[in-house]
Amino acid sequence: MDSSQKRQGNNNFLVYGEIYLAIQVNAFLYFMSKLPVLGKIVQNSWYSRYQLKKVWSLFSLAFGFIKSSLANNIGTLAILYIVPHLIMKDEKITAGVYFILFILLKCIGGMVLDCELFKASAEDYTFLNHFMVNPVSYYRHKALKNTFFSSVMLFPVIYFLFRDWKMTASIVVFKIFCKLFGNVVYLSCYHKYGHLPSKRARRLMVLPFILLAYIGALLGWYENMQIPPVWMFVMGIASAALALCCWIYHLRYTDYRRIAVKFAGQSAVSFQIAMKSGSIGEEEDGLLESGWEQNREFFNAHQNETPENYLEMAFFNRFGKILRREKRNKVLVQFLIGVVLGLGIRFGWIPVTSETVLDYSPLLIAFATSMTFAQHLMQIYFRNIDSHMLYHHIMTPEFIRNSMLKRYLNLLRGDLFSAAAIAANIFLMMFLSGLSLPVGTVVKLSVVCIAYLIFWETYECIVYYTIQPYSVDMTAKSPLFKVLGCLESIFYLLVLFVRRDLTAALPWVCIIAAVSVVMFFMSRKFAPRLFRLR
Amino acid sequence: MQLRIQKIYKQFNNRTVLNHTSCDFKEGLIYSILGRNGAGKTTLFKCINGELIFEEGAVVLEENGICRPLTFEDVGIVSASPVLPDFLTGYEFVHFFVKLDREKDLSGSINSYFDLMRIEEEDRHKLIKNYSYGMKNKLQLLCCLIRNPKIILLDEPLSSFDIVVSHDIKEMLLHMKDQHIILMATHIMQLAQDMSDEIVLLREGILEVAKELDLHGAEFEDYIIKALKEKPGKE
Repeated sequence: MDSSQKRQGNNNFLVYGEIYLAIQVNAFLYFMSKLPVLGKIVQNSWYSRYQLKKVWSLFSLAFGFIKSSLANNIGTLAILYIVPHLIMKDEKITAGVYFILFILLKCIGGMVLDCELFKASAEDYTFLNHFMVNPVSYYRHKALKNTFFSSVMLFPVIYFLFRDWKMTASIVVFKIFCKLFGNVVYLSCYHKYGHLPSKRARRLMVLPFILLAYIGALLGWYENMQIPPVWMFVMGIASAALALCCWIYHLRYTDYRRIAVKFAGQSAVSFQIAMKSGSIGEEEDGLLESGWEQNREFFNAHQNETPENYLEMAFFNRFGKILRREKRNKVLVQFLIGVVLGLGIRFGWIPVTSETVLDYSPLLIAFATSMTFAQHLMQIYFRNIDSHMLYHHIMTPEFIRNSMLKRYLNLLRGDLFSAAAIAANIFLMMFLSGLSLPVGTVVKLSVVCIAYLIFWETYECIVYYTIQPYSVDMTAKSPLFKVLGCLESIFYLLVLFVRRDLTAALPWVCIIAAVSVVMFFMSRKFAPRLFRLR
Repeated sequence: MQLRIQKIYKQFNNRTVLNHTSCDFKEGLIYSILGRNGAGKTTLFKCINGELIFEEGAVVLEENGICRPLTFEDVGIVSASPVLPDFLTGYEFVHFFVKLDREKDLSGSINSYFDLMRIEEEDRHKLIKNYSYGMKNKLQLLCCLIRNPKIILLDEPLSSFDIVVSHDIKEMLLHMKDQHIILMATHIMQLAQDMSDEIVLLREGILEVAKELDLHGAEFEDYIIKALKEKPGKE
């Protein structure tokens, strides 16, 4: 790379940020202009006030920084601090425990599970397609950005855990090395084999590290671990040197074009755009691509169906594999967690008794939340069906109402499996834990979780059809939708700290679930007016 | 300078799209690639652009007698459907586009680029989301011209431009062809006649230069229609 290209690469880093912020500010103005009262304030001329928008984008930058830093730090805190304090006695949780958990879960586990370079994001589409940026330059930028956000931005939470600047710095540098090394492994793998290890294989590879981390902590393997300062210093220096070597690999790697073509294209099946959290399965094509005879047979078999029915059947025929796989994975992970928790309670590693277990019952909300599917599903619907149908004005009001109902019923039908899994998991956990809880209480807990699941799925459907939060190319989301997302995140976090008997909330959760269902049917009346392309 | 396509082979799901075909494209000429729907024109362009990996063959650039593979900067493609960010104004988009491409001379102001494309002042500061299809196409072509690649691939160009802009764009392409290799996939016979130096037919995965064809003759259209209906090598 010659010096002019190096300067270009450095400057591009800033320009990418400017572009991203400009899009966010414009999208905000645009969505604001569509609101009933506030919309009248927004003038078309505002789009050309570039200096003012730049100032505004600084706020957007600060907010985005804080938001992603907060999300990242809170997530890390949950894994390294909250979970150990839930399952272990406080006096057994030492710096050694935090250190090992961080290394095994955040560094090694994170490195094995995923490589963000290969995850499609809205930014990929913007820079690679819209701005035709050289993929070599872009992916280096992406690697740097991801490394910064996943390592340096964790400084606050790591300092909180260890209370030592030097140790924190060393650990952050080690994380940087792990992140870059993970990229190197994935890049090499892709370069050599032309594909990545399957998602399932990676999850299986990460599982031993998770078990080693928490079970080892429970068994007290790490509590007496001492970390001499000189060792931390050496670790920091070695990590820095190794990280540099990994970065050189990034600079010398030139096959980013292939990665861009395969992974960054919008035709890839994606559950969520990367602004919220990781996507699922882009690198594995879950779309069933039948031959033309099968497609013809499918059509002949179902041509008498209504258009809404036909679309739903075709959708599940062609995307069914990836959807079922995702549900199965969710259930498996839940069962695994349930088994570990149940056994942990039984063998005394987790300090929960029959008298105190109900105080921790709100955590079951986390189980129910992890089984929800509506938001992911609506996004796939939008990308693959609705955006095109809306664009070509094929969706009549009747079509929207019928399709809405059809999808909702399909979603609830699928949720029967999730509900059964939640109930079975709770029973399994209680059985394995050996706690003596009345069967009626366990049933009530299951009912609360299932009612919560129904409420949440219904809520997401209502939000999708009344806000329709996505732009056509999915590079921007409605600000209202983002606000709701923030509130959801805060709710999930608060639930972790609530210590109350969840069964007391049973009537309220059931009422809320019932009201949400009623609201869904009411929203069908005016959804056709609101469900349109932004 | 020459773009050399050497025995390129590409198939999709057991269907051969490009069948070990070769063709050379010289600098200073505009080539119209004519073929029926599904013949493989867009596939050919994507193979040249590096978006698709072909099973066999090579696409190289010969400069001063030396052949080398194409780089990202060598090729610019203007696709039939514009791919532009909805939530930037046209002005912002061009501004950032130029900023990202800093090797280029920035002495021409952003507004001069818009003047070139006859995009009005008020339209420059509207969101691209609100642009007409024709305006989006203009913007896309403008970006390709700013990049100034050696090889320009135009997929159905000018199909949505008004008469005045079409004329200006044609003049621009004719003016700049001396230092570029321009390949144009089109169905519009008049465009092929007006702008091309050579016609290349793509039939059953084979590229064939229509030699000794009088582009401005009365039988041009009949010849092309007949040729596209027949198998390669039969006219």
